[in-house]
Amino acid sequence: MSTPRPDGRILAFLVAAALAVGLYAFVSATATVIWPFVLGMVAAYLVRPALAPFEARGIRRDRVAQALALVGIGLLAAAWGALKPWALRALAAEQLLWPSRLQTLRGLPDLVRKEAITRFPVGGERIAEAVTEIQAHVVASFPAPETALLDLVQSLLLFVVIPFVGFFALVDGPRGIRAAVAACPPRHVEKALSLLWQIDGVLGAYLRGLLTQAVIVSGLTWVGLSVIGLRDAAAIGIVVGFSNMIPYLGPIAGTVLALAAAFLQFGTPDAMISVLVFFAALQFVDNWVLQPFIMGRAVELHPVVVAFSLLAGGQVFGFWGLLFAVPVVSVLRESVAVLFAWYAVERGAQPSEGSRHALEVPYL
Amino acid sequence: MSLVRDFFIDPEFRRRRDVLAAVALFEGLPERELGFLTRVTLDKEYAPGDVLFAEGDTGRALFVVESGQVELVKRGADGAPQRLAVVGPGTFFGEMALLEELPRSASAVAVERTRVQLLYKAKLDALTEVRPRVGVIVLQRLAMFLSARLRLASEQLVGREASGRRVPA
Repeated sequence: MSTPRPDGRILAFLVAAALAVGLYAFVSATATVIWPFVLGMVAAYLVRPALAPFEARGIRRDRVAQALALVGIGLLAAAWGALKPWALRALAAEQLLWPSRLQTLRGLPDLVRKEAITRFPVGGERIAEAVTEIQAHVVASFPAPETALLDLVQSLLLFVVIPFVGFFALVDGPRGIRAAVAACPPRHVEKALSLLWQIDGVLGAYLRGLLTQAVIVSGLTWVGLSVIGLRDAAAIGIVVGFSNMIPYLGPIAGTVLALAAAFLQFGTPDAMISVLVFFAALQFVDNWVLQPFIMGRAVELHPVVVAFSLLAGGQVFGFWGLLFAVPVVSVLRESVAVLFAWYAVERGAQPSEGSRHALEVPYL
Repeated sequence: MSLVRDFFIDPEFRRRRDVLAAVALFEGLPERELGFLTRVTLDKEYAPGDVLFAEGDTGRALFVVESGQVELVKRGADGAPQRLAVVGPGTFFGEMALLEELPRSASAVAVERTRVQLLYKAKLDALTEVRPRVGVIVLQRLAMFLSARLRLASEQLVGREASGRRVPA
């Protein structure tokens, strides 16, 4: 009696599953090193459409990328040259003011606790306790002096690593695709790359949606803070809008920045309460209106699915889950839809739109 | 001057664009639009005997033959392969994939070492969103070719009926 041969498909599935687990373990272990490279590739992906008009004229991609890099460096140098005198004057003025500002900020938690207990006889103690907890978290989040310099250097290096990776991803991206095409088995070139192009379309739509959301949040913040009377409403609006792309941390950082600016400008808790109420309303609008509808429309996901993806991603994977929930779900959805359509069409289960009409209307 | 040109101009891109310019399907495309179309095509080389796609595979791309020859083969009612055509440089096939991603009605096999350029439907659709003129011209030309083929097929069908040959159901 012959021994049954193992099913090749089961083996292929096991190998694929083992590779996926290995990849997940590797990415988890090296996340802090990998993410600047990921950001560099994202930056290259965003800049890529700018190369199209030049490439369409036959100009070499690497020359266009080099020219863009030179223009970028030139603009930065020109901006620095123009802003340097103002920046040095502002820095000198701030250096005189900051000791007193720090003193004021150190007194902020006590002021808020006193105001909470005075204004809210019921619940004021609880608010005061919450302020104490937040203060403890903020103090704990500051880096220790011995590691602060290293953290600062590592952060500054990102401004070198990300553009460096982005430049080479921009120049060599097509080379990688051509190598993949050359290596792909002849019969499967069509299928393999078709899914890649459709995922490319979905990711592009997601990034455009993200940028649209950032611009709208920036605009709303600028208007809201201007109504409150904050001096630097435009600058704070830009920071809030773009940091809002980072789930959790972005909105908190933006809120803290606006609260500090309000306190330093007005010196009263009333202005801070106005800012806090505004940001609570902004977050509500962003999370329940902007994100589901803009992102849902951009990636063709139902708003409820977008909201669920964010909650589930955050619950399972924390910060990284929130950051990548929507693009991962939209890529998965696109992949499943495409693979199912291929299966249905190749099995003859799904007639084409054209053939349905052709059966009804004779050729004329 | 040629040194300056080689420094800035991509000769590979120019070669691919010239190949597409000679294809009847892209006739009428302005040079700039043709450049955008060339950007989204991919080239692939096949060895003799390589299957580009098999009958029944879902079609997703148009193939333009740059060099070499490709044999289009269809299985007959008895299952035996029947050669439909052999296409050479400057011709295209698999164009139905630009309209609908449906099973291929025939197989394509490289007769000799063959280089083709592939234009994916997904890429043409994405390009049409930002450069509508490209999509309009290509799809107009495609419609003309398909209309001509349909008329020819109808005439052939009527000719067979008139000659008394049994027309399969």
